[in-house]
This record gives sequence, structure tokens and C-alpha cells, in this order.
Amino acid sequence: MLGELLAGFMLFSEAESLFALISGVLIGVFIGAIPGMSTVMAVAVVLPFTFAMPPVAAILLLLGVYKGGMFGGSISAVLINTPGTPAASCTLLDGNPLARQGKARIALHGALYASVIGDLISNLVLIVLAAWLAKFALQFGAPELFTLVVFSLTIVSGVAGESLLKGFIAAALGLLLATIGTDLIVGTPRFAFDITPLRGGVSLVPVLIGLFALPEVFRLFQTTEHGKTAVASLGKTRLKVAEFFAYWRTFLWGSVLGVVLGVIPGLGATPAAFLSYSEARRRSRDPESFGKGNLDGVIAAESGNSSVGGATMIPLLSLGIPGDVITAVILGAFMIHGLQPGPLLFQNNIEIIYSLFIGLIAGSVLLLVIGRLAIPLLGRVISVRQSLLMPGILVLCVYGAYAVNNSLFDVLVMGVMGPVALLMMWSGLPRAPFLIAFVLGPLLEDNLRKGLLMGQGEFVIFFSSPITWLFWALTLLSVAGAVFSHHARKRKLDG
Amino acid sequence: MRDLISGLVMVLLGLALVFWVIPAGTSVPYSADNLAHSPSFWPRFLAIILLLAGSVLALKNFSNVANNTSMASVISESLHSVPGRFWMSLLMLIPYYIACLKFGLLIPSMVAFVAYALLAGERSYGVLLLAGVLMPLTLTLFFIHFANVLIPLGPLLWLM
Repeated sequence: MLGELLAGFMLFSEAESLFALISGVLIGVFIGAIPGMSTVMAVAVVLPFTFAMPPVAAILLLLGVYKGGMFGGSISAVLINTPGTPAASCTLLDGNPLARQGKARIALHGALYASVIGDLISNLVLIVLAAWLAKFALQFGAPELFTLVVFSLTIVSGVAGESLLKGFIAAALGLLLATIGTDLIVGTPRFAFDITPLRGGVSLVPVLIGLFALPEVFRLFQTTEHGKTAVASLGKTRLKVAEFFAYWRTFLWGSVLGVVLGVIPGLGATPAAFLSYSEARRRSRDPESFGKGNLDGVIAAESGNSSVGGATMIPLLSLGIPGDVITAVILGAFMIHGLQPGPLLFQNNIEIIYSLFIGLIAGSVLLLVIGRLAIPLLGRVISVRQSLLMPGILVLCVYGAYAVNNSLFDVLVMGVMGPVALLMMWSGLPRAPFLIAFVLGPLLEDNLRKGLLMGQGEFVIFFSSPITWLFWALTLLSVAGAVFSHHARKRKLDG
Repeated sequence: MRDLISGLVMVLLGLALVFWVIPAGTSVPYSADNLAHSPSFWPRFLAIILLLAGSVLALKNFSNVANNTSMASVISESLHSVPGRFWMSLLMLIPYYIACLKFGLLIPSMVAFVAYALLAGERSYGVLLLAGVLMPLTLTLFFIHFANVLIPLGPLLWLM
């Protein structure tokens, strides 16, 4: 084990890996700080730049963007009352009132420290749990994998959108898109219609960019607002580390909640931030001050949303199942580099896993350093002109889509997916289940058909082991839970 | 009303898949009893799910249609609720793509950058021109020299 750990450290300490991690955190912090640029969008536009990198450096770059983006989103939330990322929408509740009191620097330091601690705790849980879960997953055959993916898709569809039904429809559309290409078992073309590039299937990157980056560009043209945003001044007072640790109950509790919510596919950082915030408010001796500039609120929100990152990597690394859009992109990056996350990665390429673990921990420390250094500069970054930024993003999207396969057909796919994403947003169909289903589609179909081959065409094979029964039970529970919460929400709205 | 429209679109899509796209888009090399050998089994299953889910969505919202709002008025309202420049930004993707096919990525990207920035209301023409030239150029150089991606340059190929 020591030898593998050392090999992992050597992989991590390569100049490219270190450079990628530092660049990733920097890009994440800066892009996350710009309103309208979500972490998903940042990861989507950065992904094409990883093609020429070694696998570890590529994944570390994306992980760095993810980590940096989580904190970056809080900067515009505090300074201009606009969350840079959806996950930071809870941070502004107390962060901006603090900024208006001249305590923006205190709020940002609190957000940074809480993000770092939340992220660190989440990474430690990942390191402890992932290997154990991967060992368990080694027992999985095709029927178990099929039921696992079904379970993941039901949970993602159920929690990602406003209704379970729309989530299912979005997931079905994603699965259908994934069927284009060459049939996995018999090898004949499927839905290619004599279009040669379609024989290889639809690539992930153009679909991802079209779904998540292009709509942000077009959103600029949907509004008629112009004018400069007022950026609050940072103020001179700093938050000392000792003062921050006086809030230990808040950030520990927030981190625990974030980790628990992060492990469950589909939930993501935003609910974690709000749950952590409401818990902090409930436990506070002065709940009335929440929303008026209580640092407790900022720390709760940031520890909650940042502790989701490492936790979402648990199902990805150990089972190969992405829990949210960003981990779906990271799964895509693994695949682009010829690696398949899951138990076999732990068995065959454990040094890569160790290097990622080391990178995740190092990323938390880097976030602290880069965040501290960047805070004074970020006031300028967030007021960057959208009229120059968004055309730049569009051009970046076109180059990124092209670079996957050196194919203009992929640019066309991206161009089609953009309006499709806008239509989905108009009709309330969530995009996350669509993308995750698209990524998991081949795995689901492959294991279904392999299972049928094993069972000689009988579906009984999918009920043949205790693990399949466990996943069917969990699937039923997740569907029942989604239906129940939908009705509860409806009753609340009606009442 | 939007849910009704979405549901109906899914029903139509499901029907089109079952009766046209799947039969026309898949070929079964040999007939076998085992479903695992059929390339159309999984898409057909998904199409039926889509059809059923779309029907449920449409039926659930069918009662709302009794209200006076017609489907046409909802679509028309949605179309008119966004400014014209939004539609223009979408339409501009078509010439951008066609230009990429004819002239490579660099020149059309420079033109697109400037056009989209102007559409977004940018009026600092000096900065705009500088950014419009430098940004696609930097990307092109990065992809060609660092990522080893052959970016099509069209008439500017001689520069390489």
C-alpha cells in the first residue's frame, strides 16, 4: 500500500498536475465570482482544455474549478447581492447585509474559512468511504449494476426538478439520445441515418456545453437591463482565525449536513446550504438577527454547500455513478482519458485514486491561500462587462465543442442542444436528469442486455440476488419519497 | 398550459419514435428470441415510457385548458415576452455555423464575437475590436500549439 501511495504522490507532484490544480482553483474562484457564470458552466468550458493533459492533471483541473467555484459564488453574493452560483444564493441572505454594514471582508473571510473546512471534511469522508464502497461494489455483476443505475436515475429525476414526472421525461430523453450510435451488442448502426459522425454516437462535451453553457449566453439577450452594478466596499476589519473557530458548532454541523446530502445523488449544494442555514438559525440564541447580517448564517451556508463536493465524488469514484452534473462531467473526463471510475479503478489504478485524494486535500489548502489572496481583486472581477464576457464564452463553446473530435458536426450538435436546453427550461423539464441519464445511458443499456444474455432472455435475473432486491427497494423508496414530497409541496401551496 | 404542450409534444415524439424513427433507424441483423440481441428493444422501451409519461403530463393538465387561455395564446405570449435581440442571437448561430464550414473557426469567431457583443449593447468599439481579434486568436493558438487540435483556419491556413 505504501508503494501505491508513493506512486500516487508522484503522480500528484508532477508539474502538470500541480499547475492544473492551481489553475483550476483560480479559474473556479474567478468564474464563480461572476454572476451568471455557474460552476457547471465553468467546468463545461474548461473540459475541452483537458484533452491534451494526462488523466490526473485533467481531473485535478476540473476538481479545482469545482472547489473554487463553490467559494467564488459567495463573493458576488456578498458584494453585489447576486449569487455567482445557485449554491451561493443562501450566502447572500446574511453576507450582503454584512457588506452593507461595512463588514464585507469579515463575511468573505468567514465564507472562505467555512468553505475550506467544509471541503476538507467532505474530502476526508470521501477517502474513508469510497474504498469501502468500491470493495462492496466488486461483487456487482450486470444485474446489480443495472438496478443500481435505475436507482440512481430515479433519485436524480425525483429530486432535480419541480416534478417527478418531468424528471422522468427528461431522463428518458437523455437515455434516448444516448442510444444513437453503434449498437453495443450486435454492432449495427442505430439512428445514424447514413450520417457518418453519428455512427460513433453523440459526444458528451457538445451536449454538455449546449445544455449548460449556451443558455447562459442567450440569457444575456433575454434581459433588457443595462447599467453598472454597485459593488460594496470590502471594509478594513478582518476575521481572525480564532474568531472563526468560535463558530465551530455551525461549520461542523453544516459540513455534516452537506456531506449527507452530497452522497445522495441529485440533491447538490443548494439544498445543503439552505438546510445548514435553517439549522443554524434554529439552533441560534438570536434567530431574529439572521437575514440582517449574522456571520453565523454565512458560515452555515458556505460550510453546507462546500461540503457537498467531496461527498458527491463518493458514488462517482466507488460505483461510477455521478450524483450531479459536475460529477457527470468529471465522469466524462475520466472516460475521455480511457478510465472508468468504479471498483475496477480501485483495483487496477489505485495510484490514480491516491493522487486524486492527495489532490483533493491539497486543493482545500490551495483554496484557502488563493481565496485569501484573491478577495481584494474580486470586486473588480465581478463587475466585468457581460457584453464582452458572453460573446467570449460563445466562442469558447464553439472551440470546445470542435476540439473533442476535431469535428464541426459536434459544433452543430452543440448549437442544436442550446435551443433544446432553452425549450426544456421553458417547459420546466430539468436539465440535470437529462445529462446524467445521457451519461449513464450506455451503462444502463449495456448491463440490461448483458443481464438478459446471462438470464437467457428472462427478466428474473434482475431479481436474483439480495443486492438487486436492495436496489429495487431503494428505487421504490425514492419514488415514493418523491411522490410524497411533491404532494406535500402541493398541499402547502394550496393551503 | 405549458405542461399540456410539453406532454403533447412528448406524446408526438413517442409516437414518431415507435412508428417511424425506430423502425427506420435500427436494423436487426438476425431474428432471435432473446431481447438482448435486438437493437430496437431498448429505444422502443424508452419511447413507450416517453409516450406514457407525456400522456400522463398532458392529461393531468388537460382540465386547466377549460380556462380561457388557448394554446396559441400561451405560445404567442412566450414568444413576445422576450426581446427581439434574443431571437436574433439564436438566429445568428446559423450563419456562424455556415461560416465555420466555409472559412474555418478563426475568422467567423472574430466576426461572431464582435456581432454578439454589439447585439449585447457593447459600445466601447476599441476594446471590442481588440477583444474580438485577440480572444479567438489566443484560443486558436492554444488549441493548435498546446492541445494539438487542428483548428480549421480556412483562408488563413497560410499563416500556419
